[in-house]
Amino acid sequence: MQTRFFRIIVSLLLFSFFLLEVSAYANPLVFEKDLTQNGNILLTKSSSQLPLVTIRISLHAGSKYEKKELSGLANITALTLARGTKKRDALTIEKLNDELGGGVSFKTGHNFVTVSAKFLKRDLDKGFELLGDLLNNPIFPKNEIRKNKIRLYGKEKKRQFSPNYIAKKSFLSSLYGDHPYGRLIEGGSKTIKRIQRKDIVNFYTKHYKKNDTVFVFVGDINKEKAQKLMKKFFSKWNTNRLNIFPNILSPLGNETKKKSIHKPFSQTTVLMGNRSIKRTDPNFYAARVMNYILGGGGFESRIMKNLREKRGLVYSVYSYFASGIENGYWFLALQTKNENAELAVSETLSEIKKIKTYGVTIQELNDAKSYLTGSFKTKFDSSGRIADYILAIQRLGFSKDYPKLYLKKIKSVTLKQVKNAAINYIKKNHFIITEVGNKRGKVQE
Amino acid sequence: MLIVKIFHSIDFLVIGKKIFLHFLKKKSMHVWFFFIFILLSFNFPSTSDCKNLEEEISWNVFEYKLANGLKILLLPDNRAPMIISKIWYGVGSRDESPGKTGIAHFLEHMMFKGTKKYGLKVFSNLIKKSGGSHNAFTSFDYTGYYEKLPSSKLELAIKLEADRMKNLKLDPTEFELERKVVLEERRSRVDDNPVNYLFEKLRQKSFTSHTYANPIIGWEEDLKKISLKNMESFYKRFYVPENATFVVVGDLKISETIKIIKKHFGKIKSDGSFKRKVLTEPPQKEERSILVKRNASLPYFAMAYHTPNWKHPDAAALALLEYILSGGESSRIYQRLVRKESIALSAGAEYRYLSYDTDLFYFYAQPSGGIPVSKIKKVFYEELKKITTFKVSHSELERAIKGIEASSVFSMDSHYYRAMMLGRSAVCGNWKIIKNYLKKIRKVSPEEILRVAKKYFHAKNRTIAELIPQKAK
Repeated sequence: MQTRFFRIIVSLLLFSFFLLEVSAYANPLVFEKDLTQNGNILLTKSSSQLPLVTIRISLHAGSKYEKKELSGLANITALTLARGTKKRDALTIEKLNDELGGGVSFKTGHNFVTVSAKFLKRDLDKGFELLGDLLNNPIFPKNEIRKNKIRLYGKEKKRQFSPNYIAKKSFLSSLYGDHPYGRLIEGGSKTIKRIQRKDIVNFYTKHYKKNDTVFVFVGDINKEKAQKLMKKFFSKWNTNRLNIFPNILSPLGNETKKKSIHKPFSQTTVLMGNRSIKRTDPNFYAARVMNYILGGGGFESRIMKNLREKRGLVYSVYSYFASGIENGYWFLALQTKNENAELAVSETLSEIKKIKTYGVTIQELNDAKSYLTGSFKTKFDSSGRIADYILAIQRLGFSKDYPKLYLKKIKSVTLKQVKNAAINYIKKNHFIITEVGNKRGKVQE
Repeated sequence: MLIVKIFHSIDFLVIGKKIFLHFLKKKSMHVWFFFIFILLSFNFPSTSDCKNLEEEISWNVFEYKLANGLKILLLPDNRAPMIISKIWYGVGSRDESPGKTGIAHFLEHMMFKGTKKYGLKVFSNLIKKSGGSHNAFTSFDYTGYYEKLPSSKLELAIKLEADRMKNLKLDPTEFELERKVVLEERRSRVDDNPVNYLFEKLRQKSFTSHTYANPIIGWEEDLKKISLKNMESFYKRFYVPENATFVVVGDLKISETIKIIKKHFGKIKSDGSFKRKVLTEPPQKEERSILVKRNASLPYFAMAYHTPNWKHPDAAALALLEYILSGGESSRIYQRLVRKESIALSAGAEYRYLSYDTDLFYFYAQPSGGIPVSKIKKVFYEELKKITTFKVSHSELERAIKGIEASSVFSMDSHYYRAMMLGRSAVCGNWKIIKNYLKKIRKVSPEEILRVAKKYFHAKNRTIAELIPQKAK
């Protein structure tokens, strides 16, 4: 036991020495940034306390690059990457991935595809070779595309009875209209049916193996090792700058738009919200503080106190700013038994009105700031979280010292800014209320 | 947990916030049927090149017990300046009496309603303005409460938990309000979720005398009639130091932490008489089945076999069977149903290794559109026939062991899961269950897997449940 402690102390001392840190623990958000020769970005965060390496690879290959008629193309392309390469068939890939702990996965978003991986240090070379193979040499077998399609159809069918899915689909489409953000990333069976193998190959050729791909390494790895791996497997990615076209948002009216969908559920699911600020907006910090007080602060938020604690109407209600790179929206979600839906909505709207008219108290402001700044350092308790955060900082174009800046900005938010954030970013212009539930009285048992 | 996933697929829209919401929405999270059993243990790696791995990550747990019976488990980890504190009570839906199902979980909700010293709404306010988050969960076997805080604020969590162990104020108005909230929770978790409803029925049918037959959240009719008096006596009986384990993982100093825990919990008296009831379930003698009709667009299939838990010598082989049959994309069931034949959207198995009493080994599958349940069932039976007739190959077994090893280390990466696994093991028997897990797994032979599969996977020992979709009205 003593030698163990000693070893830990020695390694900590060494670690502190290299980073010139005073504290006993390394700042989880200090990382190194390098540009590779072919125009990609490498972010490395070394920490040798656990023998594992967490990896993120972020590519400009999200659903906003697909045509409306082929909605779902970006997703099915990413899904099929791991279903066969020039040297491995699907089963071989799956077996290898399972042996490595099942750590490789692909996720498609509106903007990016993110490849996530986690490997034991002992498996790093093996695992990274697999990642290289999947991203460099996929062959998109027809049969595997067919199987992926079957699963996607099935999932869609299953979700016809998921209140959240139905509400989300309708809400996003009302909010963004024809913009790609208004569509589901998975697409729908109509558009998925249209997707041919050649569409997938084309999408892959256009959006993969390009520059401005971000590689993040967190864990028991140093920069030199990361560079070596990148050079070995990703040096051939060409440097043609991808033409990132802006998607123009269609203008919306000024009215509140309410949509009710009848489904025989025992509860009504309500989503409401409006287009709002993007993450890089200087007013984002005031907006975040305001939202904490209104609906994002759990049991500390006004809407939760009103709807759940005072009236027992809901189990769950929360709101947030989904603020992204190009734009964003504010939204709130709640579920309550059908006969209470009207009351829950009207109480929510009256809380919104109240914060817009009277703002918040100094006590509320201080408590919100204490939470947002104090909890910041507790968020990064796993390498996955650190990797995601570092990646987000890069993609949003923030500097390496953004974490410090973030805390400073939150601390400087004023009462007036909070009130203005409520006025400017909530229930403004085109406000959407989507309800999914039983509109014909009680559910038949 | 229920709504949080709606917008998960929008990438980079919620920097930072995502993490926060993830924790927030876990309010009263149940360890539900599909809780993934990530079992951790880090001794004796199978390959020689990972000797370092063993040294670096072995459990360095400090154990202590107060005079009043409170168990303490501390695990220092200074990667981040934070701590997770979790208090575990040995009480869950298992410990409820007939007609009062759901009371353990209902009480979990009431534990946030204040004490004489810290009134209504104070708990959450104190934690959050210290930069912390908090939540709670109830399972069949336990109830747990946790706080995640900057390490300098550890005493706050200890102080508040010690206070509400003894001094909870059960106010009639708050009680009635919270009953409504719990009923809403039941509606979204069960009433509007046909698959969870099916699992509720499957457990009910699988157990004939053990309280494992009841859902954690309780039956609706019971929830409507539980009285404040019932709750008062339930609280007094189970929320005692001898029935609790206090776990802290994170940036902590052992002697100092013990001192603070002693200061706050030490004064709580205990008469040493607490004992958990012994419950049993007679062996199942014939196959049972149940059909459930619900509003849904697709059918669903699930079945369960009675199997012993970690205490039994067969448990390690059962855990390996779970992995070989469903522990990844190359596992037998997933390959056949989802990959090869594409007749299911999802499929798998789940073995309740870490439970207080003997529990179940589940199989489940979501058929693809147009695929009848009979076709799915046939594949399950074929796969079970295979595994009860032929030995698994050494390479398949080795792959499974390696996979379990790797995912064990992966989950070690999170403070939250470590505290979870320590507490769960402690409540279900002893925290060393997790420490010894891999050691046991590595000793299992193909012969043993065959013997164990034969012993439990037979028709007389199973209950089958099928969801029949009903047209929406």
